[in-house]
Amino acid sequence: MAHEPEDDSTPDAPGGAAGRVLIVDDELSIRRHLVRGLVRRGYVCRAAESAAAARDQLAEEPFDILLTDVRMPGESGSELMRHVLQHHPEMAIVLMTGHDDNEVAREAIEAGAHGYLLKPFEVRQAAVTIEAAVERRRVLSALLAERGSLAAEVERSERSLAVLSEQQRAVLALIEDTFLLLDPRGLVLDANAAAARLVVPPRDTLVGGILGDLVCPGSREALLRHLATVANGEPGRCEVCFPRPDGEAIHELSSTRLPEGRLLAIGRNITERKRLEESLAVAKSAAEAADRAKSEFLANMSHEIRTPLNGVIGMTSLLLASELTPAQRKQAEVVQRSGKSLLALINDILDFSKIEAHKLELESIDFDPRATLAEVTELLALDAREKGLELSCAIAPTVPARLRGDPGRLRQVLLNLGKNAVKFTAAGHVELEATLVSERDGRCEVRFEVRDEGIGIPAAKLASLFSPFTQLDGSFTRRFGGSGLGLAISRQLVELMGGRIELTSTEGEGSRFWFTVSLERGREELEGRASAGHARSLRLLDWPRAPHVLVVEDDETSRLVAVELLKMLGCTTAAAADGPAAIEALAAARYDLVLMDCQLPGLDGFEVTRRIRAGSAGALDPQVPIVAMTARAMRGDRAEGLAAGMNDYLTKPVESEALAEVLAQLLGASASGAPRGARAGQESVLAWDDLLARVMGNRALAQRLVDTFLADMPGQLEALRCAIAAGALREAGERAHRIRGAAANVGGNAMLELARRIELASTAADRGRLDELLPELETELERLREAAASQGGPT
Amino acid sequence: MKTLVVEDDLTSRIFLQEALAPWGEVHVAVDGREAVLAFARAQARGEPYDLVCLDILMPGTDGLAALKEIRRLEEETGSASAAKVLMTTVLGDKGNVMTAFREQCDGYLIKPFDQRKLVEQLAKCGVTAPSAQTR
Repeated sequence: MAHEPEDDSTPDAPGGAAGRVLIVDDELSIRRHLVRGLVRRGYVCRAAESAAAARDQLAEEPFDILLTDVRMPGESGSELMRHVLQHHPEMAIVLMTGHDDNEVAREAIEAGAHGYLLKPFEVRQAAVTIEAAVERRRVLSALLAERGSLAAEVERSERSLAVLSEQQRAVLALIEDTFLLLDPRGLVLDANAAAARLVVPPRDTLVGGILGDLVCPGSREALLRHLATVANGEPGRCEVCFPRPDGEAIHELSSTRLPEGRLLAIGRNITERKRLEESLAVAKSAAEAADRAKSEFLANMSHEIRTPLNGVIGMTSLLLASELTPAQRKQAEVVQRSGKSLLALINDILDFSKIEAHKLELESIDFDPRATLAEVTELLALDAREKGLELSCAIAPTVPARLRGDPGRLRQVLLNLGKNAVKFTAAGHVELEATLVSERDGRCEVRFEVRDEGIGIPAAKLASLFSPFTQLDGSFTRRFGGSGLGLAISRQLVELMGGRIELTSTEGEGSRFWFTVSLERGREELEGRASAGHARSLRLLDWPRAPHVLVVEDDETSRLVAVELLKMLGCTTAAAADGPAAIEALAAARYDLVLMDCQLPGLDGFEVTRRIRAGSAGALDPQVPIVAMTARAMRGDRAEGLAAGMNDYLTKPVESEALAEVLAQLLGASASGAPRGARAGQESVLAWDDLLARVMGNRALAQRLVDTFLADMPGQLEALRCAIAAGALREAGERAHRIRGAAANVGGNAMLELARRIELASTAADRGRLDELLPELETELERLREAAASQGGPT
Repeated sequence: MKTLVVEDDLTSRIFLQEALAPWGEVHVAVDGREAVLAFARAQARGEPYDLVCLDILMPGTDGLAALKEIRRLEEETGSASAAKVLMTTVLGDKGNVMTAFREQCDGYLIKPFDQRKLVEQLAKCGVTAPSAQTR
């Protein structure tokens, strides 16, 4: 039975170097097929029809390879395999299974087979599988040999570890941290008691184990990388997990290479710390979510409160513009005032809570501190004038022309202090001043000071003044209003800007508030947008030669202001204090432009203009552009001035931006442009004739532009309202700018002016002003709609 | 002449579209990003714009950034002739125009728009009256 018919087995073939194969299958055809095919490929083959026959064969001669069927009558292929594994460990084993025995085959591999073939297969496949199995067996035995050498190494190191003193061993045995001595492959050469507890159940010793086999599968790769890095001479840390019955224990290993090449690893259980960190992170994100919810709630509430309040304030201003009895007017004014204080209060609370919640982010953009101070002064000027206060502003030449920071928030602080100063001063001066304290490494410490001659603050109250919700006493609130948050917000903003705020005050004489901020010097080139609209940018305009401007103004302070502004814009100036002096000056020299006050004593500005235009005054240039300066409230002046031949008008106090606009328009524009006179007599609500002129008389296009504007604007205003309510002031500024362009196009000059002021107030982050201006803009839109209706298509 | 009008405000778009219609095709974009996309597409199709009217102050990609990008695209593709670019701005924002000139625009229009001024600016760029152009 040991031998098959001769065509089933072969004698040693000439090419027998490939190996000796024992083929075991109960089917003759398969045996024959395999023998033939493998012999052709250089194998020496013997065949057996059963496991028993195969055992006989194995006893008779040596083989390299066993190729056996799994299911056979009698002893199975698997049993045969176990026999071979035990008695002929040098042989490679390949199992043949039926198609549906896939699982069996996998199990066989796990049990020790080196390869398997699924029937039916071709001889070519069988040869490949056999080759692979031989290779696999070779690798395995190499690994076994290596284990042997590892064990030898452990023995060696145990001897070398004997050098550790008793004392050192005692320490290692006591400490909670694990101590491991490893070879670069992770073989444990020595370990202390704590290390023995790394594994479950604890072992007496880990020595001889491979650390990589002890960690959780997920940690293995990181550990091997870590060991390789340390073996290269770089000490390092690595987190690895060890399996525990109740989950995983996380250990942090710190390892280093010892001079002789072995690795020393100290491990610490950080599971608890990790768990704390995680629960902290969870708690933190929960707290943040709650905080966000609170902020959102505040933002929503503020929107919900502002929207109806805007309605109240807007409607009240309409009411105040109508016919009212003195008693009704008084009542309406109280409503108006109360509404405005409520709005200011809401704005303060919103800012304050934003800062408290660390939600306030400072911008970092280049800005011109002079322009910022000038804007603040302009914004304060109206109230100061109403109270008859003198307002002045000085900035030291050492303060850089460009700083980098948050100009909006700086403005807010200055406005806050400035408004307080104006509020608490009944008569006298309010002064703003900026100086450079120091400059180091491109950072400038700038000091701003606001001085007043007001009621002052009692010494006992100074300390608590910057705390939120603090006011001197109840009677102050009744007399002066305010939330009591302004100074607290200012202090927080100043501290955010890396500075501090302080004050000195003498009761009855006045107060001096000062603060410092730490700002970077601005980069060389201002971004175009940052400088938009400021006088500073106009100076970039290259005048072919400096324009020569005559200022006609009887009030000395106003004259000085106009002269200084003009100088700042690069003009040369001369001044006249009254009409006759102006006529004399124009007869003596040529001027590029005249700034003319309307209310001159004796000969007024209109009459002077008429005489110049008529040529009767003997002016060298009767067509010299003349710009009127009129008091804000005097609406009629504007029309009269234009009728008298003036080219444009400015409202007092003259603002640098408005002056720059007019100069650019009158001196920068080409002479062939549409005559400025075309704007004479125009209605400020809807300058229809001007619009018609600009579309060259195309009535249909003019009408279409106005219709489009009226259809588009409500949405634009709503978006603006939302942006303001949400505190997105940059966006509000952009939206106001867009409305400004649109209003300009249709000749909606009143809206244009309001949109311009809203844009300015957005840049200045002047919430209170925005809340005042928005209802006005809405009112103006309705007036424009009415004006358009009365214009009513072709006329 | 083929024109691209870039304005975030509707009245400005309609004004320029109507005023420029006699010169030929006018396309519109509502912001800088759209403008650059439109410009690049037209270039790719081999029908680049001859004139771009570009609002300076727009949310997102503003006119100056768009202008820079347009000039970069032209340089990259080695366009034979650069598009004429007129920057548009609201009265009072002249500082922006100066920046724009440094970025190579050819002229500017100030809002409120005026057809006569538009014609003047076009003439400065070498664009003659519409009668001489193909409709």
